[in-house]
Amino acid sequence: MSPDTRNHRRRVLGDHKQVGKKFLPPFTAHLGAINEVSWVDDLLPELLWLGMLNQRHGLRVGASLGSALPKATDSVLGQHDKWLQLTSQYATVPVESWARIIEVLDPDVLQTLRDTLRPLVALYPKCPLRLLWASIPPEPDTSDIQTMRSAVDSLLDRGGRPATLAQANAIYIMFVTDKLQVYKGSILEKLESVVDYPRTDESRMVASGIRAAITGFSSQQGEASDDWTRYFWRRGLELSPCEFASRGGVE
Amino acid sequence: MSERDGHLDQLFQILVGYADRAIEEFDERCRSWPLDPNQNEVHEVVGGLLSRQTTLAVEIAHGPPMWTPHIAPLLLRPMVDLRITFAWILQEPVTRSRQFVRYGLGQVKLSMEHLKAKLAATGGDPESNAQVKMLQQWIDGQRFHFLTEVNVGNWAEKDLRTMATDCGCETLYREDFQNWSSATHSMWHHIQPFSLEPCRNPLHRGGHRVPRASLPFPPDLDYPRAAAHYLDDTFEVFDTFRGEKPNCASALEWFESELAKLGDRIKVRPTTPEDPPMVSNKSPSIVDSVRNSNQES
Repeated sequence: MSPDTRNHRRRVLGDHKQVGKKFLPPFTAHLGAINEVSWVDDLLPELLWLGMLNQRHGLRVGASLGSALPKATDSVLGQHDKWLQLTSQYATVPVESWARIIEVLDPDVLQTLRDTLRPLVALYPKCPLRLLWASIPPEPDTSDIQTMRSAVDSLLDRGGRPATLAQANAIYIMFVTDKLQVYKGSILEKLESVVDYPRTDESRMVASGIRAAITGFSSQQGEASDDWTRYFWRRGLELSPCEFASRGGVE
Repeated sequence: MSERDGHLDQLFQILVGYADRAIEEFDERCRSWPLDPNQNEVHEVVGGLLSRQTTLAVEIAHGPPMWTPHIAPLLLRPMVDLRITFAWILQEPVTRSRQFVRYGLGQVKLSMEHLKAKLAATGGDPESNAQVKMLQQWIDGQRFHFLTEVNVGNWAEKDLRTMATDCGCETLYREDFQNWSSATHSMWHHIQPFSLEPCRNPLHRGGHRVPRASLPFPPDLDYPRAAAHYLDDTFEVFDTFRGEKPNCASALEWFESELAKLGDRIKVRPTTPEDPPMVSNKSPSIVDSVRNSNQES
């Protein structure tokens, strides 16, 4: 074997670190075990409301509607440590504050939020956003399941455009509620570029920064988050049956 | 007879033809290998292993219902195991054949001793038990059981991976053996694709998986093709050991050639012999094509 051939031979798992009979990937070999955050399990239910607003109204209006509720909540609560881009955080808003939040919201915005998020709250009655309806929860409609299927389905691929834009809205909310400040030169300064995702290099770089930030900010949201995300997926099983390719549909 | 039935009939004739030719190849090698009474163990071990490899390939060819990811790997893994063991034994046939035999005798002795202990614990008489007597006679017929040692480790005193390395079969071990092992040991990388069915309802976590017994998979011709390749490989190792080629045609070459002709007739070609069978269970198989040909035509 010539030296050239030897140099070009790639050692299998060459970048991994062997510990006994295990080969650790470089990431965990350097950083140790990490808390993994699952997009589908942990984050999708939290950002679904933003995805629904985008799906119905487009990115610009969706972002504006999505930031209206956090801003109104902010103004009512004053100083607080809640990250209001996440659905679960609204479960920690005191019940007595909701009447004031509803009052602060522009009536048209409130109505649009209610119209758009109605299927979510109607089908998932323990959704923390239910207090947006004050004491009268919305009733489910026959088309709600399909609306929710479409909304969830569009967000399953974290790198897809709908999921990326929902995550971008979450970052935008953090900016407008002063929960996030970035250093000069951070890729998140170019948040606006995400509208072109995934067509341009810059939009893809911004999207990558958004995903990293969302994972970091959302990984330790505690009990409220667990309650909502677990409830969301449990409730999903009650709403409609499993569907299998092999049996030609539903059972 | 419909076109579909005609194609299926042709396929089954090819399978039967392959099986006949494989046995003929085996018989020809046995005929041309004279017994050396001083090396009887070599003859029995090497011949016995070659016989088993032929039997497995033939049985697989005869059994389309077995050509599924549930069953076929259970037959193909031992074929790879045998192919490696076979080559390793032939590196030092006398010593290793003896080692192979003695390990087997020790395993039966161990079973017999467990049986005797169980009988004694339940008030039976181990010495008069018919099964004990039969096992002891089987051992004594080859080597007195009181001289037979029991090895509870690997028979070759090294694992199969090392044996594969010793005889140049690393790739076969790394790729084929590991591939079939997942099914044999019912590991996650076999269970997930073949025993669970994904739910497509997005509201169900975007796709959980539901356990399914007997998930239907169409018979895949790549399985008997893989078996035929393993047998042919084993024949080659034997021929190298013997230093001579048998006086008969290759069953594998005939098999692949007939399948290619059938594939041409129904407009689907199997992968070429240079492109080893993937057995991924995803590629369209000739059997499927035969089954579908009636609808397409």
